Amino acid sequence: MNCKNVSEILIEYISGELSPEQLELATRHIGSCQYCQQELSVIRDIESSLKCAFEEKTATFKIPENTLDNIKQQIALEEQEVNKQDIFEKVREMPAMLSQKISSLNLALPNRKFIFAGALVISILVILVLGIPVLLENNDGLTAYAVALKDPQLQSVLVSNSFVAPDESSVKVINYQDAGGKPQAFVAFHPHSSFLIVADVDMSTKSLNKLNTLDLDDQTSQEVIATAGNDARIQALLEQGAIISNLYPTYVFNETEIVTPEGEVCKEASIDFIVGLVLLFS
Amino acid sequence: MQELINRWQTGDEAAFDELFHQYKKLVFKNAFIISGNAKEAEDILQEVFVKVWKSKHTFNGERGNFINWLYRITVNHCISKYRKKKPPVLSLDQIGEDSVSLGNQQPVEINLDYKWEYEKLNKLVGQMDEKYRLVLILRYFNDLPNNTIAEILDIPLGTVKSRLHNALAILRKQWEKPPGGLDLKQEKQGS
Repeated sequence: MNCKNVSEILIEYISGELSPEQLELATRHIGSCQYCQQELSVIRDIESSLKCAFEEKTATFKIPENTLDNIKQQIALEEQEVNKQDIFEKVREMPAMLSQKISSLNLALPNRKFIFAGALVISILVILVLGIPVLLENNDGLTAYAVALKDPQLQSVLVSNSFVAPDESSVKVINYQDAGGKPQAFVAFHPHSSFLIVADVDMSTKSLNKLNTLDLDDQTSQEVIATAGNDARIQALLEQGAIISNLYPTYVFNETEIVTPEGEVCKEASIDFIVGLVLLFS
Repeated sequence: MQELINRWQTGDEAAFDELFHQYKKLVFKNAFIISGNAKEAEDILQEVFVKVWKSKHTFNGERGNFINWLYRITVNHCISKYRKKKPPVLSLDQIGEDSVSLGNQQPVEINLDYKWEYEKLNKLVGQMDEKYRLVLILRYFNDLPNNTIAEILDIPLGTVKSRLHNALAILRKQWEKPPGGLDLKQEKQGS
């Protein structure tokens, strides 16, 4: 073994990663070569200095105490985002199935059309979407909720079901304008996890246009499950051992610009009621 | 350890918490050395463990142990973030082919008794090409053998050895410059 050979294996020589044969040859050469002894010393110095430098750099550091909480928040956000994407994709794909369960709005309003259609959405995730994004929201939100709560019809629904009106912070308000430019709002909230209320409020008159509810009672839930069971994708999952864990009523708001036969541009707004079906693999 | 891994893979949040507390320092310190920035290291620590949670179903213990897998996620994440921000300054091209061999250089006396020398050394490492920097960090900060480094970086063992060899050659070349002789601005302009 010569000086060039030794220089190529000095790092492994120091770390003890050489085979016994290589080690013996290298040791023999280094023992008799002053140049290689100096080389060995230099590499050792560099290596030990590097270790010290790295240690020095990381000697004083502090990991923030809330790091794990932040990680979990981020995980929850990302999982929620996945759920939302899943829902919106499925809404486009699946036909309306539960329209008979949902009272319909007046479809004959001039230059404005509301369509309430039930859509079954299957989301195979542990946590279903708990907050559909609010597409439009302004400071009138609380007022719209207050208007809705004053309505006798809504009060009757709350009282007859022994519901307590939820805190304003958990109410979603979607503001929009009708063809005449008058402010309108959809007020959506869950007085119970299996019950969804969407009030259509006319903010120009501060009155309720229409009250829409989706009650996932036992009968409706069974119908949802039966409908879902007809879907090939769901069938496949159930056959693989998935179990239906939970149902959750929610909605999606749609707003698109349309041109009337008279050439007038106006917006068509609609809300689809959705039932999220949570499947779990045990 | 295996039981902890199994629990984490089945979605046990407590097991995930335990893994975080066991390995947060490892991830943070490496991220700090690679990125050179404490705030960025905090971000990387968070992002790496979000990935750990999301990738729990893809980890396969038969293909490598958890720590090496964690090293790999950390290093790859640092690389992807670091590449966007900081191009390397020191490379083999800049020191010349004749400097590659450790044996071609004259032995020098190196004395690093002072803190500022460590800072200088860290600065030099921080300016090196990523492929050299990573092997130095994995080798001399984490005390990992070459075959483990090869597994983490997914490169052949021979490549690890040659990168290590070249990385030390680069460092040595820069160190031989007299005090104050390393003109970092000039190096940057030349890159």
